[in-house]
Amino acid sequence: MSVIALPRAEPVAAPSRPGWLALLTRRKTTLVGALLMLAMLLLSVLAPVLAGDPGHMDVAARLSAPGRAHWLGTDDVGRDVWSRVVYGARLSLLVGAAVVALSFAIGVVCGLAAGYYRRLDNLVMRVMDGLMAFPAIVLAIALMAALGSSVVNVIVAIGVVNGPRVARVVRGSVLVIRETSYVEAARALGASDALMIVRHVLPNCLSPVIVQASFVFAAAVLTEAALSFLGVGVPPYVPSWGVILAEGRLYIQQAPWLVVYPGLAIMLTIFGLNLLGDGLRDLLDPKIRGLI
Amino acid sequence: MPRASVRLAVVAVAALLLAGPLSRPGAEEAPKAGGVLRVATIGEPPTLDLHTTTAVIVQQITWHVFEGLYTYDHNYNAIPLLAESHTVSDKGRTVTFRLRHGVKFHNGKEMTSADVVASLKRWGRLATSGKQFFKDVEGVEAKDPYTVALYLKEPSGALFMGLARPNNGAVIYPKEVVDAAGDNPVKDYIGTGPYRFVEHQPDRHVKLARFKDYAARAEPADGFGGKRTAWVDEILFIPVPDVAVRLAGIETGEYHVALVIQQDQYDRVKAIAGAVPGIIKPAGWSTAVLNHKHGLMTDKRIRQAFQAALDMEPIMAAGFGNKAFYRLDPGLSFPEQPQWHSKAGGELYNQHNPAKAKRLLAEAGYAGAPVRWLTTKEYQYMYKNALVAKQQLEAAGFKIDLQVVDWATLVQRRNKPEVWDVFSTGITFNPEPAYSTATNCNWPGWWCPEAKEQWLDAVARESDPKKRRAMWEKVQQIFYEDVGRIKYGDFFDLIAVRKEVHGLRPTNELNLWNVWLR
Amino acid sequence: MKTYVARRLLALLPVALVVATVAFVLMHLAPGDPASVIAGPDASPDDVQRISRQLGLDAPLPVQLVRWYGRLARGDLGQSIFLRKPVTDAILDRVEPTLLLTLFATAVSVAIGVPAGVVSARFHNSTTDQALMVVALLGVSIPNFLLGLLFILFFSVWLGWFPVAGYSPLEYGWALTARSLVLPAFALGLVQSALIARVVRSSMLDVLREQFITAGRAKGLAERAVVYKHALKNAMIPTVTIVGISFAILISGAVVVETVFNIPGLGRLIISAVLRRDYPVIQGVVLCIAGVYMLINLVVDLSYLVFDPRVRYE
Repeated sequence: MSVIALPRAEPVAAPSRPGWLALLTRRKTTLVGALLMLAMLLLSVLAPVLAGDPGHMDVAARLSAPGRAHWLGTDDVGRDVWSRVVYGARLSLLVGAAVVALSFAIGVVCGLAAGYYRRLDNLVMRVMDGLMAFPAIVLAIALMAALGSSVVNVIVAIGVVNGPRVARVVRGSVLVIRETSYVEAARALGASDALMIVRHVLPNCLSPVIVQASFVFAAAVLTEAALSFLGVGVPPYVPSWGVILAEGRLYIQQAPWLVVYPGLAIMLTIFGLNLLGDGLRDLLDPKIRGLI
Repeated sequence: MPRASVRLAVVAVAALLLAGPLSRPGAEEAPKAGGVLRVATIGEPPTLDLHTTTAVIVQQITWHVFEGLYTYDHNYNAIPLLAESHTVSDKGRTVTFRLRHGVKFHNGKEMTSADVVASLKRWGRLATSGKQFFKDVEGVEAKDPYTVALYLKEPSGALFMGLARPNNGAVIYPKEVVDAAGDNPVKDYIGTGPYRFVEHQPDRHVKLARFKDYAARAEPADGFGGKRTAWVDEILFIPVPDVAVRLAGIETGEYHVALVIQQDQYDRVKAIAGAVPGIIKPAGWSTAVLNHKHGLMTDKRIRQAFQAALDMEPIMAAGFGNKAFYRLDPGLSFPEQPQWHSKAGGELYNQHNPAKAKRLLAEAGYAGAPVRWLTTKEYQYMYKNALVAKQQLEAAGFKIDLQVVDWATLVQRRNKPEVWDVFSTGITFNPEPAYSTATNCNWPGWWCPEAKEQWLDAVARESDPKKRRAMWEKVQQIFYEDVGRIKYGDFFDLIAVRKEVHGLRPTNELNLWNVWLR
Repeated sequence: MKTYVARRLLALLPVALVVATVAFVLMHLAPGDPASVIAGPDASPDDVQRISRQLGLDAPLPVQLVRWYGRLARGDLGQSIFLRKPVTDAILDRVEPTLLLTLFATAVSVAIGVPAGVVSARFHNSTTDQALMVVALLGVSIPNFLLGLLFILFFSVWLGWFPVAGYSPLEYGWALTARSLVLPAFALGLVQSALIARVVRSSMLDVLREQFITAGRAKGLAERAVVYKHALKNAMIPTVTIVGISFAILISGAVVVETVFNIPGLGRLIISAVLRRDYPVIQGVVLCIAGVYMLINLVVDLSYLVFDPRVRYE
């Protein structure tokens, strides 16, 4: 069954390696994406230096407009919006990275198993199809309902949702690679399965997987924000962009900065990830390079 | 004697500084019948069986359908509603009620003493307030179709107030409804009220319609009593959990009345051309309830540390925003009730003394065990009060584990003493201290020191207002010395009302009879 | 061809089985025995056990699973704990706004996305193309709930053109319904139109490279005729696909946007069910949406038969 997949990642037999930095910067858009992500990374790493305690309340200064003391303003209980947005970046990147790791652990194992061991293929891919038959956000909501709200559970839920999508890409690449002549040659020489997978198959399906990673990352950031916005994600006192938006919603008239700044942060992050993903796809996937 | 004895038995509550009816100059036009009144409520009522719940939303909806023997006048004194009169005999231990003739239920049957007896017994068995009331009741029996006798173990100073109380009230159902339901929720919502129940579509609305055969009292309207007239044809109670949407609906005219508007939206409500704000003053006080039965808070020193650490001004400011909507005051009763209000124990209120808190914690050997605190975002003020209090307590050395759950879950969990240490709630305005949840021993928190219980019993039995006040002051003193619960401060509620709505008084109880639409 | 359709339908079965199983497992992962949730806070252990027996929750898990399949086959999704009515009724009550919103949003996304994609492909690599694609990428980057909030800020709060939130059911007249759905439909549809534009553009570019187009150009056909008559026709296949898929995506998007605009649809139903721990409702809504999702994907796949003669059905 067909399910949307943003990237049309095709397997690559042998990735060419031209000066990748040159390629990366060849398109200005990719560079913009990389810089945006670098900025987000710096923000979240340097959060303790750049911002104050995101939970500290100065109730007397509640709902104050952006100004010298609080340059992105304060929220309804007097917390500094800048600090919350910065720590929100930290949470988003943490969730994004953890989800990528988890969904890749699931996806690579299942994808390799299905693609390499043909007997497992049917079973594994039917389960993956079944999981993918749920719209991502709906499955994530249901998982959160079962798991209860916490940061770890958000990661688990989004990871489980994205795992099958990675598995599909990995399986596709493996299917092509295992038929290539050098893999057949290695097999003829009596290489073990484990060796084959580690030495030949895995490295060769890396590039579509890396492309996929940036999109899974983006999906994770978006889904976390959406879940938290809906009140079924992280607990409300955790500074998350989705939580800030949900709380700011009521004050959208008096204090639009409560919606605008976290919103801008989400947009820029996803925008950066998408630019980067597009660039990586061009870089690593010669077939469609130049097409888009 | 009968009418006078009401005044005697009931403590006169002085005029509350309630805002007058929300009518504008030139609004003296004659009331008009017709129309559908649409009320945006905070959410879905958990049940419509008033005997079984203390949820305010259930009282607000159902008291248009069900009526009790007594109700409050504008000064919150008890006055008869379904009762015609009463006599007190046997040194205050027997009260005989005369019922009104010709009062019809919505099913067409006339209300008689059999219905009253069956309903009062069920209320005494199931209702939180009823159980408390029936502790002192020996029996209730029908003397004849229009006479009911109530036998007490001890004379009571709060009897009529207890019967008049709307929340979880002693309302009268037909006997056959009571018999059919037993202790299960009633199936048919039949009462004697000016409105009859039409339908309940969960998540859509509760629909009430005018009861044509309503037997109104002859006296002019007074508070919630006197003549009740159902002007509007239908009332729809629409659950709108999102306050932004309730308010938006007032702006567009979709709703006539929006309940529980967040106080910091006051300026916005004032700016809406087609609507006026209504201030419910006083609405209640915000509180943190401590668990006296199980866990950390059973240690008095930890409770005292908790009390010492708090600075109420920022807590209340975060919760209620606009200064017009909160007040720092130690009284268990409100300044609007001068006959009850006292500042006893006030030196222990609002200490903001983290050093003292630290010392007490050290004495108690507190080693950083997390204080499990249940709160909810459904009532924003509870969450925000808790959030600021958490910051102050942690500065004093506490470790707080704030668990934000939905209100239904909070209510469910607070009954299990082993799963929590603190929970957030509000104590709504109650004219009769003897029935205040703030001091109730059976209520979650289980605050039951012997001295307090004795004084509280005394308040319930005594009928001399001066003595009652002195006893209540003792209870308040103990409330602070023993740290029964934590009172943050008084708050007032905001509702928004469209200008086409006339005759609405902003009260916690919310009566929509005598209200008409232009 | 008939056998192909039959085979595709048959292939859905195992997926449906997995979907049903996942929904079952989710319910049983949930903290707390459903029986104690149903019995309520003050229930005695005996009451909980009685309800547990009534619901068949004391049976071994595999037995329960088989029974669950049986009930599903009969279209029985169980009873809502909070709403006290069958889950199917609860869902049917909420379908109207979600369906209308999704249709409206699909219309918006196609009306904007397809022309933008075509123009972008026609003027490939021009400034217009690049500007359009950056806008499209920006569009993909805005979460629909955020766009909804910003719309409320601009169009409702500042300009006062639309209601801040809420839904007017069809029974009060379609004009009011349409008005209440404008902002949510655009919030949903705009994001999706960006995706459609990207797909339409790249499939147009694919087609434009094909031989018959080159031949057409060689024959001296005007570029306009080439692009709009021949290329567009052939680019329809992936476009139809993306429209079908968009509809599926928009259903799940509606789940989120409904909360922003307080529209009483399936999204509000599932979110309030999560907050109330009403597990049968969560399960039912999830299954229902997954079922629709699967059907749409099937229809999209089958539509190739109609649109693309090159697809062979082995």
